[in-house]
Amino acid sequence: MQRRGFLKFALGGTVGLVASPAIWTTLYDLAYWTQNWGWIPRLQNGEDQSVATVSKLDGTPLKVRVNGGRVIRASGNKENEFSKGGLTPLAASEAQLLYCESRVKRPLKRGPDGGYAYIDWSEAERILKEKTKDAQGSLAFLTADASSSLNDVYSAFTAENGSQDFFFMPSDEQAANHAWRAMGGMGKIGYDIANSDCILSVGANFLDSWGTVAHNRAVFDETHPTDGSEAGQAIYYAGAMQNNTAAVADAWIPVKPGTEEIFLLGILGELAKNSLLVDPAISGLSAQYSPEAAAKACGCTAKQLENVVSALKNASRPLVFAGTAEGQSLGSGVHMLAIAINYMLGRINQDGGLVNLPEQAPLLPSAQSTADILERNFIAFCRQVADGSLAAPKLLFINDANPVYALSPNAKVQECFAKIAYKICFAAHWSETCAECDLVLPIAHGLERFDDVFTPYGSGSINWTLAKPVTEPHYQARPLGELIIALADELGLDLGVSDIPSLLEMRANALGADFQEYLESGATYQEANSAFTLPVISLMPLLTKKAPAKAPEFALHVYTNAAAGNPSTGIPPYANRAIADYQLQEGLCVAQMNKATAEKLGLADKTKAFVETQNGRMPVLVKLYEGIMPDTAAVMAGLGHTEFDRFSVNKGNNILQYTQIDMEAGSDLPVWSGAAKVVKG
Amino acid sequence: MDYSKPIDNALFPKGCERCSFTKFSLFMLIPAALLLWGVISAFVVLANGLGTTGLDDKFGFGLWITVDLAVIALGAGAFFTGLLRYILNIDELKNIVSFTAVVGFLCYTGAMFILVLDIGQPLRSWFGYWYPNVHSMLTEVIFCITCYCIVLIIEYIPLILEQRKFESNKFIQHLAHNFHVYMPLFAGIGAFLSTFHQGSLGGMYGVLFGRPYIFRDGFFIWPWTFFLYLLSAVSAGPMFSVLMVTLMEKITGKTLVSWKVKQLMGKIGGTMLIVYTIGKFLDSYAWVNSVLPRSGLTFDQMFTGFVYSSFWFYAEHIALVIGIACMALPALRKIPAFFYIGALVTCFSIVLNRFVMTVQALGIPVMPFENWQWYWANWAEWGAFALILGYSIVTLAVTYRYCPLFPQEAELNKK
Amino acid sequence: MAHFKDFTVRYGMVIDLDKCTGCGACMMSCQAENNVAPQEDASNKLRALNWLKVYRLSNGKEYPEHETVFLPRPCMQCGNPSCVTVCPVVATDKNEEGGIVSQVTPRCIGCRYCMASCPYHARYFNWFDPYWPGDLKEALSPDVSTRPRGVVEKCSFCHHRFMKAKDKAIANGEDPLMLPEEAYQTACTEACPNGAIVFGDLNNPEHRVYELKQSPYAFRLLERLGTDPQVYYLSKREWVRRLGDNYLEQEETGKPLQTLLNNSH
Repeated sequence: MQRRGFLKFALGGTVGLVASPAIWTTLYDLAYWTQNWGWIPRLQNGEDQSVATVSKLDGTPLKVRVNGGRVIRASGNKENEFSKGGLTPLAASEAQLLYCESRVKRPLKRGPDGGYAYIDWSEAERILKEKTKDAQGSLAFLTADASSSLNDVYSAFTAENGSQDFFFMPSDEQAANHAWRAMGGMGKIGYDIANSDCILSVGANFLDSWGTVAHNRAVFDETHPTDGSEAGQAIYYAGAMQNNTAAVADAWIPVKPGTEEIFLLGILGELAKNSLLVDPAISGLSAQYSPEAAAKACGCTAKQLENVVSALKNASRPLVFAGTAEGQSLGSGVHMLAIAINYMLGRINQDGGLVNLPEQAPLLPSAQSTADILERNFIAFCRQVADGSLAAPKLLFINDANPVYALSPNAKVQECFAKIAYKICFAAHWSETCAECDLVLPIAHGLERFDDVFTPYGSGSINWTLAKPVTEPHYQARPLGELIIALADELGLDLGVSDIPSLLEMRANALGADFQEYLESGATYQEANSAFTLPVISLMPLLTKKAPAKAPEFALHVYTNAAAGNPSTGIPPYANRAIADYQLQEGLCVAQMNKATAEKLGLADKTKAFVETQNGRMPVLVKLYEGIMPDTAAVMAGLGHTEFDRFSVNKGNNILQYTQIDMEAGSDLPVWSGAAKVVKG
Repeated sequence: MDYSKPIDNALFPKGCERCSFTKFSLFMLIPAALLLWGVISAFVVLANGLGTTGLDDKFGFGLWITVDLAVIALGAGAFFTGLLRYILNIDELKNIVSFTAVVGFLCYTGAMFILVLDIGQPLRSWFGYWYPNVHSMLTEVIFCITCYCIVLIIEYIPLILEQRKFESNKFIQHLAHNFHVYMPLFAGIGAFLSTFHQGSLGGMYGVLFGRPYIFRDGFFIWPWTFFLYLLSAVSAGPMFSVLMVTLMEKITGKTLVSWKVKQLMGKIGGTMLIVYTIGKFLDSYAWVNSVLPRSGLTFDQMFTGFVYSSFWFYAEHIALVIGIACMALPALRKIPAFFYIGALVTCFSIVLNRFVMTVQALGIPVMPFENWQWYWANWAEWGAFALILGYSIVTLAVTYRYCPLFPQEAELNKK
Repeated sequence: MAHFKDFTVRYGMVIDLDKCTGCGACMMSCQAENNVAPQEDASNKLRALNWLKVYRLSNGKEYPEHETVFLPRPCMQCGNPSCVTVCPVVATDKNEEGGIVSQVTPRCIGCRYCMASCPYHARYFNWFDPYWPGDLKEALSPDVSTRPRGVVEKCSFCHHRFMKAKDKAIANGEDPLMLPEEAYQTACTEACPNGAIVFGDLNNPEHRVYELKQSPYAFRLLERLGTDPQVYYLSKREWVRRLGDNYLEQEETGKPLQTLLNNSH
């Protein structure tokens, strides 16, 4: 080829290539293909639906988005008057919890080697029937959800099997119910937060995880206008740490864990001064603690205590209540004192006060009343079975509860389990408790079943929200209510109801609500409080109470993170990001304490240490936080799971296994003790 | 065949002696080890994602960007010497200009390789051309660096063409000749491109108004920062080239470039350093007294602990003064010890500057409720550095062994 | 500084810090709404991908003088974004009516220059490929594309909801640039049970944010850097407002930006 020819060819080729689409198309294609990778999930689109229901995790009314049959996400229900559309972080996880890896997918049976094998449902049903038949009169039933009407089915089933051993997991509600009843209250204790203009909460993180959270927070929103105008409700939070509620409260009053009773006694004493209501019980009690003495014992100042009292006195609708982190309890004493204070303030059965929510008769003939169930004490039961003072039941049903994880060794759950011949766990998620049971049956998740939330603890009125399935149960899960009704049928027991929707309709009828309407709208039925009868409050039981024990020198404040799930759910997939670095870091639970405390203990920020209780030593990472009282360390509960899925395991330790549970003198109710030490690692 | 000479002696540059091939091969084990480490880490990073590095959402830039900026500054000897040799006709520099081109080539190709690892979607790296944002300093850097890399390849080619093997090939001879003829053109293009991207690299940081530690505005971004970075590169570049030559002299045991040429390079670098230092001091003064107070920050708030201490701030500035003393004062420059110390501290100051501008700038809490954060490069990041180090050693060693890298070598080492 | 066009519609937030309890409902909703991949371990907060992050602030005093406040930090959708000008490939832009800073993840090459530029740390990198173990993929929303590893992402003010709202308005023959406040709300705003987040068009007098942003208690984060954020915060507490920006000792909080600038010269 000649030089000229070559140049011609080269030039022609270049012009041709640039002019032809070949290069550009290739580049566009390349650009396109480098923007897509096959292993990144493609989105599917289908018909959109919005289904109204309620979260069975914390009672938040929901609108669930379903797309092409897939549950996409849970949002708040804006049309719901009770929550005004708010969404709690836990309820926000509902869709992810429905699909997460920890779901129990098929019935599992434990073999002689301790390993689990899949069995089919017919086999599972056979075992269920056989074991229940064998255990006639010796069946115990534990459930975590005290607000469901389905408890009527479960308690009726237990009763029809000749047993009364139907239990709720321990909670504030149990202790408050005990106190309320002891002091002459009837029905259920109610807290009319919505109508109060001044709230003193002792330990109850009511704007985060205590009571009817979504409702409480809707009230907070309403009473605290964003435009800067005057708030309609003053909030005083007394507790060991500046927590979520304290962050927005008008004042935080430091009260050391274990001194809540003393603090309330101080308030009571101050209120009793110059009071016209002279009651021998009050005067006897109030003599125990002057504001100065009480403040000194609690770690606050007398001024702070007096300020709270004057705020309560000056308010037109004050309300005082006590509480603890979820699944814990301080015994009945604090509640009795809180009731007494409300009584002194004239707040019993008043708008915005403590209200007497009328007892609702059980829907089924052999079902037990909630108040009666609450009187039964699971921890006492476990301890008695463990030490042999009570005959172990032959069979234990566990619904959605995780006592193995949530209760300290003092509750003797493991020892009790060891004595129970057969344990069946009905669970949506594979938990630490599942791993201790002989048979684990997959039950429907909250979004897969009919259920309801009926006047949960912390309510200020009778209220009721229906849960309906937004999807068919996934995997081989079955709704437990239907399963128990079917089992009763098999055994020839008549529970008095044919299926769960009819049970819920019975609830609607009992309330005088239109079942279909509430089913469709997802609205919350609320009953006005005016019809309640005024209970005659007796302060006498207070006299029988012993003087509060002295506060421990160093105290542990165990708190929860509302986003991080509960013992039955484990940590939801997205929640890991909502667990702060002052809660979990470097694989260790963080113990927050203030600088003075750390210095006293010879500890520095970000150093390793141990929390030491009677139940052992737990490694922690120290972090300084000045929003906590001296001689106190705060550790988050909800970590240290060994079961569930990848989002729950390998995250610190389970502080609940180190906390100590004592029994309250007189009531025998469990009291979570704060006594602990923190020592150098 | 002469068995007293290395087996590959026919390939050696004319009049130059080389060690035995066995010794050479054994020496190559050092870069081979570095390369192995580098290849493993590059594979891990490319296969699994950047999560395998020590980088995080606060330190999106880390060791790699520091290394990139540092080597691009240190590799500036290539364009600057080329400019002086071919455009300004400082003939003396012909004795080192090829070497500076190779050093530049290694610095730039190394930086390019690290960039490929550093970006999250390497297959989209050409988007910089395809969807360019003309407002971004980085676009300018991408354009200039890639183009300049081509220039460096062009500058490297004649060296290969002059290999003894090709002596008899007429076409290659002609080609090499033509390259030489057109070299001033490439040197000019290179100088043009480099001026821009060296300046833009400074601009890249200077424009970040969300980072008061590195932000400069008004006069202090243009033209100040732009020329400051350029000047820092042209001061350190020639000195780095001299240091590299000297290092090679220590390794080979030969004199490769005359002391006179080195002195000249030092003089040039030193002169540039004076200008840079004045500029840098003024820049720091303006930063402390204008950018910081306007941002509501104080000088002390910019420093903490050891890694981020103000010691480094002062060290960076004092090193420049020492550099000037050693390089610009003829009396000191003539003493080898001072000469090399001067070159070293200058390079140190520039590298330190790139480090603090990259890492410290990101570690400082800008939102008042944040905390200081620390960053440590992990094995994979150092591995990439090892890779370019190994690659550079191999390239330099092979080029030196077989190509006429140092025109003075034969004469200086005559027995 | 580059000048961005004046938008008729400029979406923004006013977040009342005196109402935020730091529960994280906004963070949870945001992740689900925007198909953020879950993280097995998010305890290294420098690697935890949050379009919206809740900070715990302290007044810096020791017990018992200590106070706490929680601060949710979405993308500020700055009026003068430091990230947009630096992106070499126009993967992020502020060009559409609404004034939202976009992030085009299929375009992003992952150079992270925008992350280095953002003083709010609102931008996050996908360090690994996203992974939805088990059936979690089922819960992916059809509205927001998933992102591969190696790209930067950030809060988009739920831009897909804006698109939907505009489409709906057009279909109904309404002006898509005059949406009523409730027609377009972000997932976090909707979720917040305390109503701490108010979202709307900062230019529209009918939207609540219009008035709220002018409150004497309103402030923006790092205002004096000149980013012109479209997210405002409210707090009646002086120390909280002071934590919103860097102030020299003698400077007063909340002075108009210009006064501050003048004084410092």
